[in-house]
This record gives sequence, C-alpha cells and structure tokens, in this order.
Amino acid sequence: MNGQQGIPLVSVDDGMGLIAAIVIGAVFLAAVVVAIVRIVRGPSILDRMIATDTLLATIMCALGGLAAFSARTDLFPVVLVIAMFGFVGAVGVSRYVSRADLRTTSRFRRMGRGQGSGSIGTADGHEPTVPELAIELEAARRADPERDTGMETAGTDLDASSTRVTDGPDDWSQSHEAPHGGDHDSEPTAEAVADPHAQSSGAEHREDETSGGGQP
Amino acid sequence: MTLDIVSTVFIAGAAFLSLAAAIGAVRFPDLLSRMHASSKPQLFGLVMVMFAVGLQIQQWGPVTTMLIIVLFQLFTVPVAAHMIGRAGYRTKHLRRSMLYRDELDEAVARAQARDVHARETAERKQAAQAARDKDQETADQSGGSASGEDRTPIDHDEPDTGR
Repeated sequence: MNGQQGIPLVSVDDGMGLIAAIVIGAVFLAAVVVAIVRIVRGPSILDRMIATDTLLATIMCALGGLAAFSARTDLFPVVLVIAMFGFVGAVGVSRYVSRADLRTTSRFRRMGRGQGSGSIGTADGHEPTVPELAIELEAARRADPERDTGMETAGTDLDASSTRVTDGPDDWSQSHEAPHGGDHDSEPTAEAVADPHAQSSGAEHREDETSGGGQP
Repeated sequence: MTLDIVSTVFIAGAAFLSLAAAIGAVRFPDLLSRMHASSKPQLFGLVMVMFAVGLQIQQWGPVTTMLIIVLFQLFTVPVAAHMIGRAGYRTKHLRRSMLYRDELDEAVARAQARDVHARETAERKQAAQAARDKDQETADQSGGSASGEDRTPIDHDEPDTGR
C-alpha cells in the first residue's frame, strides 16, 4: 500500500492488536464527543476556544496513534497543519474577544444604556462588568479622594468595590441569585439557582473562602 | 512484540489524557480551571504518541516530523494559553471567589493610576497649549491662521493599559 512503511501493528489475524486499537479508538471518540459538548454549551467564546483546543489536541493524538498503528507516514503533515490552525485560531479569537468586549461595553456605557447591555456576556447570565472603568475609577479615587470623578456609579455594580476580592460576593455569584432563562445545566454550580438553601450555604462557603484567601 | 505492547500503552495513555482533558473541560467550573485541564494532552499526549510512532516506525523521517510537531506545540501552546487567559482576565471571565490571590490586580491598579496621572497631565498641557494658541490668534488676526486645523486632539477613548 502507498505510504506504508515498517510493520503495521494491526493485522487481521492479530486479535489483541485489533482489540487494543478498537478500545483506544473508542476512548478517543469519547474524548471528542465530550469536548464537543463543551463547545456547544459554551457559555462564553473563550470556553469554546479552550474546548476547541482540547478537540484539536485529541484529533492530533488520534492521528498520531493511527499512524503508529497502521504505520502510515502520510498523516504527519495533517497533524502539523492542525497544530498550526489551532494556534492561529486561539490567538485570533482571544484578540477578537478582548477588543470587541471592551469596545461594546464602553460605548454602551457612554450612551447611558446601563451597565452591561452591550457586552457579549455569557449564556448563563454572567454579564461581565466594565473592569476598565471600575479599575480606573478606583485608581482615580485612590489618587485624589476629594475629587468628583464625574462617572455615575449609583445603582450599578460598576462601583470600585466590585473589583475587590474581599468585598463580598462578586458579580458571578450575584448572577446566580436570580433565576434566569439561560441553560441551567451548563454549570455544575447551577443548582444554587434552583435551591435557595444551597444558595445560602454557598454564600457562607464563599465568605469562608474569601476570608481564608486574604491571608497568604 | 514487546515494542508493540509498549507503543500500545503509550497511545492508550494519550487517549486517556485526551479523555481526562475533555471531561475536565466539561466539569470544571470556570475558565482558568478548564484551561488547566485541557492543556494536558496538548503536549504530554503528543509526546507519548511520538514515542509510540518512534517505536513503531523506526525510520528517521516520521520521527523528525513528529519532533517538529512537538517542538511547534511546545512553542505555541504557552502563547495561546497566555492570550486566552489574558482575554479572560480582561473580560472578567473568571470567578474571583475561586481565586486565593489575584496578583495581577495590584499591578493593574498601579498601572491604571499611572495612566490616569499621565492623562491628566496631558490634558493640562493640551489646555494650556489651546489657550496659548487662542492668544496668538487674537494677537495676529490678520495672519489667517490655519494652524488650529491640523492639530487633532488626543483620543482618550481607549487607553492601552498594557495588561
């Protein structure tokens, strides 16, 4: 056969090799399916990108294993091209996300439409606030506490305290306090939405975590 | 036969690493944990597959090609992970309650304070320059000044914070 060099590991009369190849192929297939589950669920585009990286790494390993099993050498350029596309895709998507998220949120913020209405956000209701404005506001206050910064922060969680770790629950946990129409099964912590008791216990746990995390 | 068994074990290890990474990407709660889980088979699984290929096809061509692939991954995987993590930090895709310590937060606050200070001084300089230009225009009105046209104000919309 064309492209075959060496002795193929799997032949028809080799029962053990065939069984091993089938089992390993099933494991690779399961990994691909589970990675595709994360790609479909999201919730944000960065999670999808990470799952895509996992998927591509799985495909690369599977192609290398197939090359080792069947002694085919024509699969290595495919593996190389997959590696290159994975890298370019990850870098491009992450650049796009950072630029677009900043631009939309700050523009809508300036138009006075309220916080987060123009952000990309995530599917489970976790809308990112505008970290730049919050940090900037905090820095301006730190530089000159008397000066009015001119940014309205009342009624939103754009306050500078939202960027601190030790100031109570963050916006992620706040998004779970109100039930929403997102996909509830996307996160393992989504049972806090359905169960108020679990929510309160989660809040206590969070406080424990933050107070313990303050002391290095 | 022994080489076959060893290479089969290597490929099975790569397969289980891939499965573990995929399960971690589904089960872990936030972006950074998923990054941690999914970065395992990208290098280690590939190295194990390369060992299997080297054991199975004992020629220099495939082994060097696989070595090139592994080196490429070795250089590009940290870059991609850094970019994704940076984008996630900027867009707040991380759960701060799960962090023990955010070392980047202090540096960001410091850089922002420096940025605000630099912007204020620039604005002050610009205002002084504008006042000086207006004085000059009123001083020589006969001179037909078009000098104010080509001086565009500095765009403050999106400061590059260097994070």
